Amino acid sequence: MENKILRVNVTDMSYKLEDIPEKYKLLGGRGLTSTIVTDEVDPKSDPLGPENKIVIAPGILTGTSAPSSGRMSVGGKSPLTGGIKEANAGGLTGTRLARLGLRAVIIEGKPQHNDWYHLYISKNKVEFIKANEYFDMGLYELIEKLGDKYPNAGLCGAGIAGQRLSKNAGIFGNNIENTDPGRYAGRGGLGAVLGSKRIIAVISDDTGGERPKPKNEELFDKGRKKMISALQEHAVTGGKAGTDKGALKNYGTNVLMNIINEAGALPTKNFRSGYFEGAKNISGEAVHALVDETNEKFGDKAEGKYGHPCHPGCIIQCSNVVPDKETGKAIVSPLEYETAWALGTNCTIDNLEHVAKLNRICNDLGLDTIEAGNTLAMAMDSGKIPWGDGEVAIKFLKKCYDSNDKDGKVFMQGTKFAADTWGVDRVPVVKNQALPAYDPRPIRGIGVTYATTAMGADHTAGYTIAPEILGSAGGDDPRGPKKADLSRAFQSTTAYVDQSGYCLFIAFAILDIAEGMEGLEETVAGFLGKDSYDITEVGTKIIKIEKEFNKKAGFTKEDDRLPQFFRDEKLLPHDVTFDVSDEELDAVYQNI
Amino acid sequence: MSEIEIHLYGRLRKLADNSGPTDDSTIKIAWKEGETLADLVEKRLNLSFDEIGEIFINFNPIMQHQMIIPKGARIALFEAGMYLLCGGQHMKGHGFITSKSKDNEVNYF
Repeated sequence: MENKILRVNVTDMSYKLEDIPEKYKLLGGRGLTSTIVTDEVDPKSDPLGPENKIVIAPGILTGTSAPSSGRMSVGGKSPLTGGIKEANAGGLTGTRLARLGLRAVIIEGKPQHNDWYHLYISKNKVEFIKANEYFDMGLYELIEKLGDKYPNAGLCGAGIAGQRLSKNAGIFGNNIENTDPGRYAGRGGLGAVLGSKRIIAVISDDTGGERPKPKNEELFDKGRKKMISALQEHAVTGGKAGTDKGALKNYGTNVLMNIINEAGALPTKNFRSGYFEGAKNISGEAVHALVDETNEKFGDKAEGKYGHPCHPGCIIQCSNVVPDKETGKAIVSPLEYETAWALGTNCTIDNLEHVAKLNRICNDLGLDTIEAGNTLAMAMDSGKIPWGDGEVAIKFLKKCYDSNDKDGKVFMQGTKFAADTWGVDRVPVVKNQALPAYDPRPIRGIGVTYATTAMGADHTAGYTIAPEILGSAGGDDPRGPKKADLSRAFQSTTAYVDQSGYCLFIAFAILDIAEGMEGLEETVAGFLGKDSYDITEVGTKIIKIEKEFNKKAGFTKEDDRLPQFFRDEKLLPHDVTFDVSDEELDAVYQNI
Repeated sequence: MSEIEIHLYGRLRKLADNSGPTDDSTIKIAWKEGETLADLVEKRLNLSFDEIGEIFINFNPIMQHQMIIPKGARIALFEAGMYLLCGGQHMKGHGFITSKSKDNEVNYF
């Protein structure tokens, strides 16, 4: 197989391998998922009905020897937002599919039966494997069982939440060691779409597969070396775990907990303050110290880690394994900043063990942690459970295991649904998707992106990469009223990186170090066999078709707004509201 | 006598007595009228800016080392490599990450 699309129809349990159409040849990852969804899914269709599809696509470079390029995208129409969705993850599946020569897997149709299946994909066969015994099984047990049967396979799929068609169901993914299902394409409820197809796990076995070959190996290799050098040189992405160099390798993404707190932009207690006194207790520094402590205490038996890769070939290695202080055994992997914020700070829980356990339960159930943390905050705001009590929060979250528990059922439908049910009127969502870990009042640029991206509130939709790359984007004065231009530029560039298969954290190396940007351009151009590849043009095309899908689905500019309380309530310590005008928000997608 | 409060993170915590990662690693020193951030860091704390990553004064990210320290300031110093990432970068845009030569002080990007 090479350059193929695997189309799986669950209505008649058939599949076919298709040659990749000419118009898709230069696409990968998000570019491919969003284009296929736009081409094949009726925007007005029921997200859980037969017309919706799940598209899984490795990035352009995924599976190659380019560093930190093993990401994959999952796309479809979101049951949470009602719009187009792309969720991105590391793990093993992207690399495995790429080495099987698959550019995308499309799962379509609606089963006429009540059985559950795994979809097994290997070099020589594609098979539906009956999997009723895996229904309602926690994902830690599930990946262990599948790992025994299919060693080294990539696993992704729908957990308990997805099987129950819950709107906060992520697509889980196994980690390299197959010890944790925590490599989530988490946002937007795509796990429920897969659940509606009655697929539990997609098992990708690349035995006998081959590394994808660049069309221009010389150019690709030249770029690859430049990218490695830039990533290693940069203070954020380089260094070595356990030394004084390398923030991401030592503290992971959760390095941000203390930093965003000192920026006065750490949303605390359902976005009531920008500063959390307990942040230090659940920070990346706290995890780092706990790993060191348990490694010293338990030696070879200790399982805690930092400087841990999220996919094969990652040299940034921002993942971690949080150990139990008393046993040294792993609680969860990874504990990301967004998760520690959602399940910790936003609920005023500052106990690291409790936050890690909440994360593990979400991973086990198949829930997106950002949405889950915001939903927990709704439970606290409604008075159902107290603020800041981790043990009570754990007990409450465990209600989700019981399919008859009313609170559990409501919880798994996401923040907006829970708020409406429980009577909460401060609801931090855009397009029904809960906000991530940066308050939009002091950080207005991210607020513009939350409001306007087709994805619903999403911190990864407009990564701050762009003005220097995209000459027209920023203007000279970053305080000037050009947030619309900037946000659009950020969203375009992010869409491009998402389609390349590279991790978004290459942003530092490609912007700050000249050979990093050359490395990006040369690896992509070398792989595709093109002389050059216009980043702006490609990224803009992606966000444009995503926005057009949403328009056809019925979204209007009124959906591109933050909740009113961000305009009404000042946030301390900055004492500011979100004061970007509606006109400026509307300008983001004008004339593209 | 007026003081300034310096909150330390990462390896810079060693400058404070309470220097564990879950402690408030803070030192309080006298405020000097007209003192710049550069003078404070290099002369009074005996640090090089190469050892420092993100800097905040009163919760605002600071890129200009010649900024005058305001009376009663709360200053946060992070170790080299600890920077605003992801959405946090919107507070100052990119390109300031390794280069501190830009004059922009605070913005809400």
